[in-house]
Amino acid sequence: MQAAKICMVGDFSVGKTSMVARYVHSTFSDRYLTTVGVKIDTRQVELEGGMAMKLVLWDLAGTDVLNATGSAYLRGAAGYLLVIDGTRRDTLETACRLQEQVSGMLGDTPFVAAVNKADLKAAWEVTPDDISQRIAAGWPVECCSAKTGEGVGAVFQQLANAIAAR
Amino acid sequence: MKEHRLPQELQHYLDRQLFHRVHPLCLVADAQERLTGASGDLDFYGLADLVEGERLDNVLPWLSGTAAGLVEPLVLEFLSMETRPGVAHTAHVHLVPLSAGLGIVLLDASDEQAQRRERQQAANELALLHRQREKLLAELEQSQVRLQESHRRLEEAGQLKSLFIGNMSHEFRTPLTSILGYLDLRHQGEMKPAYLDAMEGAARHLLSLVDNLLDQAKLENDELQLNPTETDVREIAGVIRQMFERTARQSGIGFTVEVSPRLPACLLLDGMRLRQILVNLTGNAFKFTQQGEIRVTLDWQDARLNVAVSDTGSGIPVAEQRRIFEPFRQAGQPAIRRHGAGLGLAITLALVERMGGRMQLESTPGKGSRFVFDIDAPESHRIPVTRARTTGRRHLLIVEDDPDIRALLGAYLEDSGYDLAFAADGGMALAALTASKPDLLLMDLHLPDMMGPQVVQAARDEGYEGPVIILSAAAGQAEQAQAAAVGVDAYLAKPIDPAVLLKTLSELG
Ligand SMILES: Nc1nc2c(ncn2[C@@H]2O[C@H](COP(=O)(O)OP(=O)(O)O)[C@@H](O)[C@H]2O)c(=O)[nH]1
Ligand SMILES: [Mg+2]
Repeated sequence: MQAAKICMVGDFSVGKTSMVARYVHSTFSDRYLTTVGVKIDTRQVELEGGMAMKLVLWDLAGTDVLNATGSAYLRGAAGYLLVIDGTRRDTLETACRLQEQVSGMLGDTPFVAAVNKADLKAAWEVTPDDISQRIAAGWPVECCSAKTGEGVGAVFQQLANAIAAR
Repeated sequence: MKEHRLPQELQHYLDRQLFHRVHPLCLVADAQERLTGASGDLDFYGLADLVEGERLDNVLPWLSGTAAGLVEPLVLEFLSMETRPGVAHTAHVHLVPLSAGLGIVLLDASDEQAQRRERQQAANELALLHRQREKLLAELEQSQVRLQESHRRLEEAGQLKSLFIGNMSHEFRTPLTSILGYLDLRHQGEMKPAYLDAMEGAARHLLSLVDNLLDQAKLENDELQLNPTETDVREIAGVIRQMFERTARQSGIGFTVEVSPRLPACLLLDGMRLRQILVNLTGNAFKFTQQGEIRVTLDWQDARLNVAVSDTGSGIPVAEQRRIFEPFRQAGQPAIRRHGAGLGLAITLALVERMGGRMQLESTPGKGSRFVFDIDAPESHRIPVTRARTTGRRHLLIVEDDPDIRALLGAYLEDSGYDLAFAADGGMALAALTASKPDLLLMDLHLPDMMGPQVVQAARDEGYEGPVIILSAAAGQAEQAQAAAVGVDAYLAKPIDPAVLLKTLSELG
């Protein structure tokens, strides 16, 4: 079975760890527990053609990838999830910086931008305009909530499909 | 100092210390990442079951992608993994490319990670709190600005209200003083017609003040209802012309009311309200014009009535143009004392908007102003129904409980050519109906024993078919509807204008 290394990148506390917990273990915790280093998890997905793929998820800490020790984690990644917290507009700006940085290191690699915390949409600072602008810039953008689970599976599935299409 | 080989016991001691601290584990794999050798604490990492030749990326999935094509050692700090369900470890992982294959070194980092996490957690939480605080502060600042703004507006509204009350009492006091003053003169001899004229003028002024106040209250509570009927706008134009002719002549200001020949004979609109708008705008123009001319033009197109009232008066500065339409304001604060309650334009604007129109103001200070508006005014082809007149002296029954008003009505209608009969309540009225068979009924809305429409209903039941005029001080919408249902022909508001009363009587036959 094909295995694909996927890195979770994005500002701290945007919900990277929570998305993985939701996707792999179907759990969620309101408590914030800072990630130090990287945590590895795996889950199998069915691809569009009926084939299966093993996703190896690298849940990174915050903006670690921007420094030398952190950038080691990215080596050999087949794709990455760019996670944004809808309730904090600055995490969108961080995502923009990260995307440039990561694509500089990995070259042209599939990614999906996930705007998380859709359950708090009333308090979002990220506007529909911001999102349209990212889409116009060529980003695949999806909204999801690690808390309710809404859209989380779809985000990973979309990324897996994009990787398989390579 | 020359370097010595360590004594073996010391070397062992050191190894044990290091071993206990970092539990080193070395794995060696071939080019296909299959296990070829292992040395170290396999058990600690839950890897005791590894067998030679096994593919390592099954047990250590993070090797996938990461190790391929390495040319120099790669260090992955704090890599957390679950080698068996429920067994989690964090290690610094070194991937070392070998001439034929790969060396993998794991050094336990669980304690170090726990310490690092504690520090990092505090820093991140602090950053989040800091951000939260910034956000709250910004919100606080905003709501403070809003609060100050609404405070300022409330204060201003309060000032305007007290100014208004002071102004109103002044407005009421002036005509009342004049009425009482002239009345005092009756002890010194005869009332001259000029005194009576002055008293009438003062009383009418009081009435219009009260009307304006009531209209404003209705507008504020959204209770004002329009009553569109067949209306002859030329007649209204005539009323305006008459009303202001004298003022114009006295002040030497030119005054014209022009009606376009396009205007149909009969339009469907609330004539009373249109008249009120025109009186307000024209009156306003006279207040602020010392010389030159005032023109009122009325035109009609596409079911809309277009009206312009222009003057050559003092004009209104741009900054004031919006504010003059707010209640209790007039251009320039001192003007408030000079000219009435400051409700006229607010009411006018609201009426125009309610009649489906928009008000525009063009004004140049020192040159003059032009108020332009258009309202819905569909043409009506309905011809007012007139009754066949009967000949001979006609009987009019007046039903009114207040003896003063009864006497006043008697005085108004003394020479009108009617035979008058009087009743003080509904019961007496019904008795008089059978006794004197009147041709016409003039009736108060509120009677001590029953309401006007009830009396009319009873009279209709008795076979009375003549016209009915209802008088009322404050007619609500519900009462008017009730009156219409039993067949009331006219509705007149108190105080009664004798001219209007006579005109109505003659129209009804
Ligand atoms: N309301 C809500 N909270 C979330 C969601 N995802 C994560 N969180 C919370 O956000 C905080 C940070 O989440 P975490 O997954 O640790 O973020 P990471 O630093 O990006 O890994 C935690 O308190 C989570 O409970 C979500 O979808 N909705
Ligand atoms: Mg995390």
